[in-house]
Amino acid sequence: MRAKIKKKRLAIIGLTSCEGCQFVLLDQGQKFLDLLQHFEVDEFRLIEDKPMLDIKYDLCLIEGNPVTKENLKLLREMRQRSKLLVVLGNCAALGGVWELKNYGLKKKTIKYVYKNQLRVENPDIKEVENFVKVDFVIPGCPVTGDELMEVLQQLINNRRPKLPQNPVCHECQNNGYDCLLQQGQICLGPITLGGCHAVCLKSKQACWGCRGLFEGAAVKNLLAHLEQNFTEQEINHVLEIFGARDSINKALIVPPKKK
Amino acid sequence: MKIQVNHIGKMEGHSDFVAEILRGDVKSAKMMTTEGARLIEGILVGRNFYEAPIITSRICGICPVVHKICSIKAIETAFEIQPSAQTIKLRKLMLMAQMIHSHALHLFFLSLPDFFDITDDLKFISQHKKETSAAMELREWALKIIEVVGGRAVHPIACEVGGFKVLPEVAELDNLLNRYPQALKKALAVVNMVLKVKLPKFSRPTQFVALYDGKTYPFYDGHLKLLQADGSEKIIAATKFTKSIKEIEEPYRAAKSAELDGQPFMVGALARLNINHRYLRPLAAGVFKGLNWQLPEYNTFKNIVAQAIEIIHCLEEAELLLRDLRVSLRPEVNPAAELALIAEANPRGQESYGCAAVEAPRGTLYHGYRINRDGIIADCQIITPTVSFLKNLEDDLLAYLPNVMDLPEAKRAIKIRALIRAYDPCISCATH
Repeated sequence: MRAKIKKKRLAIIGLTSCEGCQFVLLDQGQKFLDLLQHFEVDEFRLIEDKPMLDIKYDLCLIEGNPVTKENLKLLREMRQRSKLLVVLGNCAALGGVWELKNYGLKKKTIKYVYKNQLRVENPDIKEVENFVKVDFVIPGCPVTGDELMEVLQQLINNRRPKLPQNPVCHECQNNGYDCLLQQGQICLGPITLGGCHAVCLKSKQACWGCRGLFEGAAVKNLLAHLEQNFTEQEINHVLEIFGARDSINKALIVPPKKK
Repeated sequence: MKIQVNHIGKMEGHSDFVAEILRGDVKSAKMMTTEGARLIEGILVGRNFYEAPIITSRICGICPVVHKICSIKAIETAFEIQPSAQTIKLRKLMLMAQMIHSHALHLFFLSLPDFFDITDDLKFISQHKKETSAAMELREWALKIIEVVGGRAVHPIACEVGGFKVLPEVAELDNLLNRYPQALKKALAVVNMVLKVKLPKFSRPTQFVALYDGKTYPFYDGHLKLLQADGSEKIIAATKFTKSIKEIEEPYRAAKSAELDGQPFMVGALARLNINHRYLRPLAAGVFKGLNWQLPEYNTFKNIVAQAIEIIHCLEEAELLLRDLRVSLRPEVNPAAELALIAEANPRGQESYGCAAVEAPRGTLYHGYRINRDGIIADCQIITPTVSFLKNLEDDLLAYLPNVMDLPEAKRAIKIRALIRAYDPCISCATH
């Protein structure tokens, strides 16, 4: 009998989200099953229904946003029980589409949806890193399948993954897609972290920054360019959709640290 | 006494179940959703209309296609824009693929293991390797269709108000068509496994609702048909849905629920099959006939059988659409975008309202928008299938509990979870 390789223990936790990033993982099909040769998956509620175990994890993937107190409790608990905590996707990394709420009147927004319900929790939407230490970010709305698998492969081999710090424009130009910025649209490709194969540009959809900034992005230059043709409100509108506005504003004040 | 089933896994989103038993009688059965509220309808007010299909597709990672298409259709109704015949075919193709991959996931990975008394899919997978790889290959084919037509499988990109930003390559359609016989073979392997499973006996008359056009088994368009428990039928224009369906807020959960004319109702594959079984494509019709159901079928466990039938039907439909599109596909710029009519403002030059319904994997989905003259969303209402059937599920649980009350706790919990999962609830959608 062959000696079994000791598998790493993996937990996959969904907080409040659409669960699309977990589906990207499942949609890898055979590649996902191959991954299970290296990982013992104990917490993946999308495909199992066992009681929660009180054990330590080598790796915990966090998808979604801590919107409820329960979410937050689970997030903190998983941080304590995991050697590495990796956030999966735009909601956990940048706040997600729901962060739009922060830019409006929160109480008015909830009143619009719930006429009578006063007990529904309505916190400001914040990135996971505001609550616990994050070891690595897999960005995107949703995450990109091959990038996700590559990162997990690195983690299996005890390597610390590093995403190439190139803009979306890099892949867009390499693939020969039309430049929507030149065509007069607000496109955040020049400042947004690539690795998505410029999938939106392939479909002639301008980049709205779901993967966040890359290190050294010339945010000021792009904004100055956009301000020639668009109002501040129009620009902010696009920056807000995937929760990038706050991190971009931060980048304008303090230049991002070189790691 | 209380019966509590916490952290129900293997479904989209998070929920618990609680029932109160008083002297042996079930007094209440409640689905407590524990998903946080994202307030999508509230967030959309004040945003540009063209953001709605992009933002609402983020309601759900398993059924983004239906949210996107429903949102687009509602806005087109508000703007009085008629999409081209080609656009409608491409949307229908995406819808078929959406049904196939969502049903295949639910059937095989989420629901089926329950009837083998297995709580861990990974164990189920290792015991049924051949069927697992069939289910995965089938899903892969369907996901590829969405990627080819929509640009990406999860949260597709290319479809927009008026039409498509880019069109698929004919070679890609050919490739999908070449792989069709294999996909069908895999589907039949999965379906056969579902048909062999012994499902619990259970029946509780209720009313069913689904889109209906009297000609086809519709997912994209149609009126609403009600099949009431007394056997009577009623047709409602899909555009009148907000008048008939009332959303209810409950103090114990963030997800709303809904009633139709003051009564709970059932939507989804079983409702569609009960209402539209005459219009199934030949292969699906043949398999369905072999089941010898007494219609209407009231056993909600059989929702998974209905999903299996729909997988075959949607495959047949997808094949026809692929065959058609591979010869008929013309380079066509989205006419609305070409005219720059809807770049910014409401093309009608005034505030207008539009709503639409499509069949999502879990049942009829509604989106409605009021859009002001500048193209800004003034009002938004979304009613998801899980919101629609939540009360029906609770009533079913109320009726089903006495059948399993005397079982040991762990066994009873498995039975309760199995009924809940047979509905294929999506708590993420319900708590949008």
